[in-house]
Amino acid sequence: MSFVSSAFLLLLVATFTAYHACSRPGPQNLIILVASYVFYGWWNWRFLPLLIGLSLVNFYAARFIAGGHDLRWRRLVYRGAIAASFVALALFKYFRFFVDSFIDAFAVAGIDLARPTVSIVLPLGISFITFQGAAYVIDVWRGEHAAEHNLVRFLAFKAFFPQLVAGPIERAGNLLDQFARPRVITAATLRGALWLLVYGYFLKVVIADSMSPIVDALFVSTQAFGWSVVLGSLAFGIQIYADFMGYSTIAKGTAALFGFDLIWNFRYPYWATSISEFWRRWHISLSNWLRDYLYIPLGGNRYGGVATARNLLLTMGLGGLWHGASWNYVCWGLLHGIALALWRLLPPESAPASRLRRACGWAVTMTVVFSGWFLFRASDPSVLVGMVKALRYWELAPVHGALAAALATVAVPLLAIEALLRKRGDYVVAQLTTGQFSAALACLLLVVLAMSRHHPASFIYFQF
Amino acid sequence: MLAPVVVLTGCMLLLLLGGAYGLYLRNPDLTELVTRNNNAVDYVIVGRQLARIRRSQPVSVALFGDSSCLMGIEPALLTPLLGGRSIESYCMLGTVGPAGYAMAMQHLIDGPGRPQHIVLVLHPVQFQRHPLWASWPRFVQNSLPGFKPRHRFPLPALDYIRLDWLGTTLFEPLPGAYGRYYGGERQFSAALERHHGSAIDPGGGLQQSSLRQAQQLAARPLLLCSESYSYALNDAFRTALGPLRTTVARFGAQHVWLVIAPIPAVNGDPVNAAERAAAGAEIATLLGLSPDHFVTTPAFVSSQYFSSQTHLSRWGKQVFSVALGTALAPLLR
Repeated sequence: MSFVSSAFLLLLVATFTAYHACSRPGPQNLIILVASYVFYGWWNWRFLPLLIGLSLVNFYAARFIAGGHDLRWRRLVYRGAIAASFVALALFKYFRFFVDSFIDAFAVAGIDLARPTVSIVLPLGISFITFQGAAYVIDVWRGEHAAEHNLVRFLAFKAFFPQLVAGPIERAGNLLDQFARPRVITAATLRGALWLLVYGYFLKVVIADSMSPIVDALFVSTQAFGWSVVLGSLAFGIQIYADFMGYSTIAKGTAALFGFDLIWNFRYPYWATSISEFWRRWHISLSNWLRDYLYIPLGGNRYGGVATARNLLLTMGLGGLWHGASWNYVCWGLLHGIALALWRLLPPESAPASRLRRACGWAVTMTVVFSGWFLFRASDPSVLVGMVKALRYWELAPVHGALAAALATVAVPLLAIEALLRKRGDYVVAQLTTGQFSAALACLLLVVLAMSRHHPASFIYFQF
Repeated sequence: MLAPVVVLTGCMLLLLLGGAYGLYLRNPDLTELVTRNNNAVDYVIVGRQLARIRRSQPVSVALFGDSSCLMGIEPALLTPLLGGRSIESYCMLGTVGPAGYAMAMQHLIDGPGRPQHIVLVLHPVQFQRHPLWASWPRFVQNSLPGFKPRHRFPLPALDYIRLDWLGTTLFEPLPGAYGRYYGGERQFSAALERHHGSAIDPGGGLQQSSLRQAQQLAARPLLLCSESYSYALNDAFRTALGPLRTTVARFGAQHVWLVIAPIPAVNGDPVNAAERAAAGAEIATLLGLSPDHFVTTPAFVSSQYFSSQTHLSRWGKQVFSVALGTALAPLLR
C-alpha cells in the first residue's frame, strides 16, 4: 500500500480512530500490528510470512542471546540470526544480480552459460526490514539494548507501518522503547503531525512527481544533448530528495498521529558544505547503520590513512549495493567513498570556516553528489554510455529553457521553505495561529490535489 | 483537538477550489485546456494548429498538409524567396487527411486570416488512407469553436491550476524524442508559434550542428532501409478529397498549389518518378486544380537528410524549403 493512495488514507483514518478509542498501550500496540500487516499484505500477502518469520527469528534469537546461556551457543545463535537476515536479503534481492554477474564474467572469457529462467519477486522494503532486525540483534548481543520479552510489542516495532517499507531504519533504543511506554499526544503534537503529513505529500506529489516524467524522458540511451545530461542529473537529484524526504516526512507525521517520534532521516542535505556533512544529513538512519555496524567494526579511522580509505570504500561500496542489485549503485557508493577518503586528506577546518571555504566546499560537494545521482539513475549500461556520449554535444534546444524553468520552480520554493525551517524550527508553520496554519495547509493541499491529477510515480525507495 | 484546524482548512480549500473553478469558467477558450490535458504528440500538433487558425491574422501564403509539410518546410526560409510574403504553416498530420484539412482551411478562409494563396503539401504515405484514421476529421471538427467540453466541479478547477498556472513552468514531457527536444506541450506550441507553424522532427539529425556538417554526412553511403513507395491513391483517399475540392473551389482554385513531399533517395527509382507525376496529376484533377498547379519540386532527397521515413531532418528541411521556394517564386508572382 502506497502512502499516495486512497486505501492508505482509509487505513490511516480507521487505525487512528481505533487506536485513540483505546487508552492502554497493549491494545494500541495490537491495533498498530494489525494495521501494519494489512498495510504490508495489501501489496502482496504472500510476503507476510517472510516479514513475520524474520521478526520471530530476531525476537527469539535476541531472547536467547540475552538469556545468559553458554557463550558458544549464544554466539552461534547470534551469527545464525544475522545470517538469516542477510541470507533472506541475498536470496530475494541479490541472487539474480550475482548469478548474472557470474555469467557475464564467464562470457567475457568466452564461456557461455545458460541464464536461469527463474525470477524472484523482490519483497517490498526487504532491505529496511532486514537491516532494522539485524541492528536489534546486534544491539542485544553488544549489550546496548535489552531483549524484548513482549512479542506483540516487538512485532509491532518490526512492522510499524509508517516506516516499514522505506525507513527510517529505526533502532530499538528509539522506537521499540516507545512501544513500551504510554504515548502522550497533545494538540501541538497533532498539529505538528498534520504539518508533516501535508508537507510530506507536497514534497512527494508536487516536487518529486513533477520531476519524475522529466527525468524518465531524459535518462535514455538516445539522449542527444550534454545540457540534458546536466539538467537531467539536477532534476533527478531534486526528485530523489523530494521523493525520499517526502516519504520520510509522511512517515514521521503518520507516526506522530499515534504518539510515536521517528528520527529525522534527512536534515537539509543539499545545504552540506562537505561530503562528510552530506552523509550526516542524507538518509541518516542508513548512514548511522553503516557507521555503527560496518565502518567502525572494520576499524573505522583507527588504523591510519590507508586502512581508513579502505574502510570508507568498503562501507560506501556496500552501502551502494544495499540500494540495489546493480553495478551502478556500487559505482555510486564508491564515488562517495573516494570523495570521503579524499576529503580526509584536506587540512582540518578552522572554526568557524570562512565563507569562501564554505562556498567552495558546497560547490565541490554538490558536484560530487549530483555526479553521483547521474550514476545512480543511469541503471542501464546503454543509458550510461549513451548519456556520456551526449556530453560531446552542447547545443541548446527548446527543452533546456523549459528544464531550467522547471528546476527553478521546484528548487526555489523548496530552498525557501528549508531556509525558513532551518532558521525557525521544523514546526514553525504548525505554531502559527489557527487561521494562518489552516491557510498554509489549504494552499499546499490545493497544489497537492491539483498535481495529484498528474501521473503518479511510486516511491523510488520502495524498490530498495 | 484537531477539529478547528481541519474544518477551517477544508473550508479554505473549498473556497480556493471555487475560485479556480470560476476562473476556469471565465477562460475564453475552454478547448485549450482539453488540448493541454492530452499529451500525445499527434493531438498536440493538431490541437495547436487549429488554435493558431482560430487566432490567425491576414497572411499571404498558408501551407496546409501533413506532417511531412509540418516537419519539412520552414516558412521563414520561403519568405525571402517569395519576395517577402508572410507565410504561415497550418500543416498537421496525414491521418487528418484532406477532409480534415478542408475543415481547417474553411475556418481560415472564413476568418480574418484569409490567405492570398494556399500551398497543399501531401506525402505519398497518406494516399493509402486507412479506415482507422476516420476519427481525426471528427477531432478537427470538435476542436473548432462551438465545441464545449463538459466537466463537473472540482476536476476542471484542479486541471486549471495544474495546466494553466503550474503548467507554465512545470511541464510534462511529450513522448519520446519530442519530449527530449521540445519539453512539454507549451514549449512545443511556443516553438510552433516562433517558426510560423513549422516544427522539426527530433528523431534524427540533432547531432549535426550545421547544414555544412549535415552535407558532409549526406555525401556518405545511405543508411535507411530500402522500401519502395507506392503513389497509388486508394478509394478512401479519393473520397476524402471531395470536401477539400469544395473548399478549394470556394477559395479559388487559381490560388491553390499542390506539392508532393519528397521521399528518401534510397526509395526512389524512375518508376516511382512516373507514378509520382501521375498521382500529382490525378490529385490536381480531383481537386479541380489546373495541372500546372502541381508544383515541380525534388521527388527525392538524400536519405541522410531524413529523420524518419517520411520526415526531413532539420537540415533536410532547409534544403527542401529552398527548393520549394525557388519553385514557387515564379508561380506566385
